[in-house]
Amino acid sequence: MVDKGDVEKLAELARINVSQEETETLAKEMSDIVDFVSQVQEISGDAKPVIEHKNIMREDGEPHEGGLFTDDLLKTAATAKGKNIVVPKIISND
Amino acid sequence: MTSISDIRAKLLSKELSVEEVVNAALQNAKAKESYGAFLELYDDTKEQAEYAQKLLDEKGEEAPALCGIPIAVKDNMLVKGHVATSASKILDGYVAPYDATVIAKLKEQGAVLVGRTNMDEFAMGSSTEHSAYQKTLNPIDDTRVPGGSSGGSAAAVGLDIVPVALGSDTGGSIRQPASFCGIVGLKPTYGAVSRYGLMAMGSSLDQIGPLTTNVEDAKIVFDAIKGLDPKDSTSQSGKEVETSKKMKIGVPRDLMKEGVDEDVLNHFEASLEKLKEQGHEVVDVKFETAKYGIPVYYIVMPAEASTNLARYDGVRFGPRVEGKDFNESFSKTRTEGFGEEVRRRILLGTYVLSSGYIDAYYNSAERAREVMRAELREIFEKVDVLATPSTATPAFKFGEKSDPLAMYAQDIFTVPANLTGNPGISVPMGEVDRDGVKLPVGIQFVAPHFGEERLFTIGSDVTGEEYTK
Repeated sequence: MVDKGDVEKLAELARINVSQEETETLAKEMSDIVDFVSQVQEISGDAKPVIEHKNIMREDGEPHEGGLFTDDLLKTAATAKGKNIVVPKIISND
Repeated sequence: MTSISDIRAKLLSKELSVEEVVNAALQNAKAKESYGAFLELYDDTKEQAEYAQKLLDEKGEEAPALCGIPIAVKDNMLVKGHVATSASKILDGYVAPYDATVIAKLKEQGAVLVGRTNMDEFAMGSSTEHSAYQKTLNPIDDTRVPGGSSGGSAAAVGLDIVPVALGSDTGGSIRQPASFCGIVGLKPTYGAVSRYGLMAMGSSLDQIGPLTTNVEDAKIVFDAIKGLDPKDSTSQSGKEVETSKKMKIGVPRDLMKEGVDEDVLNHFEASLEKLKEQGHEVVDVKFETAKYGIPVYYIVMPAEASTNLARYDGVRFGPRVEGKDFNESFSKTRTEGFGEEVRRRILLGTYVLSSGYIDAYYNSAERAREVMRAELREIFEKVDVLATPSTATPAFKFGEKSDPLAMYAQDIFTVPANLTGNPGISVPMGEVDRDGVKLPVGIQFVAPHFGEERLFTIGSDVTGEEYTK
């Protein structure tokens, strides 16, 4: 069961704004979906533990020439100045 | 429909130049613009065609298999210097700063990339109705959907605009639209094709593959794009499994007891009979965990998608909607940028991963996935391939699946292969009559990991095409 309070909390965590009306629809739809997917617990019980995830590492050698991709990557940002991405202020003064 | 070998023969005999082939594809795309297969036709095809022609003139018969072949690309793969949006407003105008590995490989072969195709936003959907930009119509019946999420790619091939399009398949997004559009679609073994430069949805499920007019072409494209890639640590150059000419085909009939269209079932049984006549053996198998495929998938996929889509914050990619501070900008950008289905899946993913629920949902789903893998391994000790219909029904009408769970049920036969990493192929098995229109339906085969050759062999026995390894 997913209620309106849950949807509001999830939306806040996921950084998505939902309207009052949307909250109601989503609570209903997500409840149906969560009920439906709960059946996984019927077969997962006696399962062996999930295979361990492993990292595949590589040597951190032979770097490419500095700045090779900087301009192309900066172009994809919403706002940039010089060699920096400009972001809205995070810490306020008050 | 035109195949790779049809075009290659004409290029080699100099009956047509690469430029003529490419221009014909572009003209055809413009003539069929109302189908909405493409989001954009590229403006640098002339240069690409010149490069291909040069390669072809130099090497002749030795030129790579895809040299001079026009190819369409799903809008979630990066082609350097071109816009790529995953059919989402949140990436409106985003220009790819590098080539995806599959794109680099195609370019090296001299393939000509003609444009990017429509899709469900971030590959979330089974009808392409979730694109933020446009509808795509089914090539056979324009009142119906082409399937999804690679619906634009399937339509581009089904409309005979290009012989090949790339798609991506997270839960059936290549095989289901291939079935709905009467063409061949291959989802390779997980890791067989590099995902570098593919916008991630469910990272443990996503795989790039070809949509083509026949099985031989699927093999040609698969050979061109597969292989270990240091830029994707989940990619592998696995050992190909043995393929015999006569196979033992397992049919999980329990899965087809309800919800499958009767005409689809009749075509499926007829295809199996045809395969028996060709010397294959057909046996019933139990695949008991398969029915849990959809519930497992709708936990794992949203969980991974919600994590992957956290990067769209209005800072590094795409436009930003300004707010009074960082957090408000962040939320406003995502609220305006993401469509309804994407928002729903992000919230669902956030839910199944949140503390208090992660064990009951996400961890349970991952354990269930392991049970499925184990069962499938056992099945493949007894049979060479599994066969099911690709989809339970032919293409449905626009707006018919407005309930999310009804849309999710589309993937019933296709999701198990994504959850277990096995390769699957959909090939056309016949047509069913709906309101006087003959709609194509596909048969799906699934093989052990790196058993693509088995899929090509059995698939070509269904289509009746000449196929030699």
